[in-house]
Amino acid sequence: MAWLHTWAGLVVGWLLFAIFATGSSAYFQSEITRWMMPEVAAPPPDRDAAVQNAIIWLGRNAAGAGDWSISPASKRDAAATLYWQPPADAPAAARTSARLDGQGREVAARATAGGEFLYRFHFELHYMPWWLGRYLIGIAAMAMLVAIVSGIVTHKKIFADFFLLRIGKGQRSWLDAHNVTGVLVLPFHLMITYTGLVTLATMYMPWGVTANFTTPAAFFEATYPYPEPPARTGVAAPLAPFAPIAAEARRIWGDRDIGYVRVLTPGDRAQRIIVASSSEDGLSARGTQLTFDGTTGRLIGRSPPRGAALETESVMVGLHMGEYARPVLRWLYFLSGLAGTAMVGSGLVLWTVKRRARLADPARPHLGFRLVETLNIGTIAGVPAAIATYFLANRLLPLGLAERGGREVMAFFAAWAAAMLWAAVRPPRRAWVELLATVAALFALVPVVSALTTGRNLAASLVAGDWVFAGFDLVMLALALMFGWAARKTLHHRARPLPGRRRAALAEATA
Amino acid sequence: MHKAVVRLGYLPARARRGAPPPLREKGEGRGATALRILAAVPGGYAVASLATACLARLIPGDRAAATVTATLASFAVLAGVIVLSFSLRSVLRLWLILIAIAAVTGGATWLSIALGGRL
Repeated sequence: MAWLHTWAGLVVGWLLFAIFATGSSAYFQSEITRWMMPEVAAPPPDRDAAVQNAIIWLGRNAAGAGDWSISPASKRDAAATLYWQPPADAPAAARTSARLDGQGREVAARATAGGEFLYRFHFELHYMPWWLGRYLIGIAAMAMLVAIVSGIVTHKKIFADFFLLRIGKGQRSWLDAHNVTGVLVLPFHLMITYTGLVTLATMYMPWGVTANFTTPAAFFEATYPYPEPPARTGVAAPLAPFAPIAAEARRIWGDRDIGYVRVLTPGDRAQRIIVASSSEDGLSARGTQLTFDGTTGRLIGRSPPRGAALETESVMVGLHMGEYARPVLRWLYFLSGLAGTAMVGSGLVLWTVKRRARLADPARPHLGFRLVETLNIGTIAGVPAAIATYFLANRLLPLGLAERGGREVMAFFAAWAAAMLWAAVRPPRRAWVELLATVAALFALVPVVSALTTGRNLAASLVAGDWVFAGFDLVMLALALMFGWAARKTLHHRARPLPGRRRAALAEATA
Repeated sequence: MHKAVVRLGYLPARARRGAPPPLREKGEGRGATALRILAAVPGGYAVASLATACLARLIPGDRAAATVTATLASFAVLAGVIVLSFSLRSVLRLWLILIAIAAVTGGATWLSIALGGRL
């Protein structure tokens, strides 16, 4: 079982580290996007007004569209996001999305890949087809689940070790760090891994669907029915005002606010308005939908109640995404995610620490050992370096640059690749110290560069009570301190040789 | 207690005091490990798939709900088979158990589809 834990963890460890690091950041996806669009300073708008503004804007700019989708700003976003399906005769390069601020004006912000890139990377990776990325993530998540279960079995003294952290004791300390970060937040790790698999369950395990339905579409129609677009009448009609529709929806839901809104065949007398409940007001991720006649504003349909199985699935997805989480819980999610990242990282380091003492000649390790060590350094220091560089690129790339969002993403991978290369060519100890110090410097630079390029510094943000900007800068500084401390520790750490007695014994035993 | 002392007696005296324990228990060759990995990864996925299809067919009530329930449980089944693959002492027994589960769930699924209903 220990064998299973070691190898299930190792082969996907580097991928898991990147998934946990970027996935943890996704709990602040909206805040990261706000920080990466410093030009948008509007306070979160009133939802009904935001939807009404979006409808007016779409009526002017996307009149012939087959359907409109409106995501009014959530409690944490600064802007509403609109999508539409251009008419069939539109040129292929026609626009299909826009972002509106609280006043209903199109957001004029720098182009950025935003918090969404980090979020998408954590379940789709990048520079590959999305389905391939999702399969790779699924394999890593399954290996994680196995590593957790076999880790619990391996860990006989799980309760006693809850309280055990021996500092400065070499391998024991790494083992304790791995156990503390693993065990303390164990319920989170199990929950997040299992529910992560559930978010893409029918992709990874489609055979239940195959056994009961002729096509996957028939299954989705049975589970998440969606109103058919109505047949066009060809008679133009204005859209009913939104405020009474919103009031009716809130009256029906009671405890939930409005989430996204869709308008089918806008401008035609047969138009429909679909209003979904927000996923921020309850554990269950999938809201319920109400369908209104878009011309008269009358309620004409609602999504059927979900049974126990679908509600369970919906709550599992909700638990994973944490959209319902208020600030304190959101921070706990983030910190638990960081603990998960640390658990994976310390597990990877433990693999090398444990084996170094047994190397025939520690100065010339065999290829497998050298490979694991390089990947460890290049990932544990490389991913944080990539994230910090990504934020710096947002502030430093010229605002008018073509494909600017894509260039930010390139900066992310370039930094990671550079760290990997550095780890491969430098002696391991040096590489650790140099890269950890670089990561600390990069994170420390983020608030400085941001203040210099946007004029919004930490002190001003604190005074103004702008918690998105102040919080972002403070997290960057905290990460800088943490990596600086790690670099210092590594620099002053003297690889403790095994006590002479033990070394002699080992030599004798392996002779 | 007595047994442990006797077994330690085989090791050189100094190794007994200081040498770290071996990283892998001896006794199983590469062939057996390969058979366990085969049982765990392709074998585990195959068994979990058949079990999911079987549960989706046999859980009574609404077929969509049955499908969702079976799919939600599938990852626990897969994790269980993988852990089993490395915890059962006998590789032969491991394979016999997996083949038995696959035969029962696969047979039940086939029978259920052949008899009709749902789909």
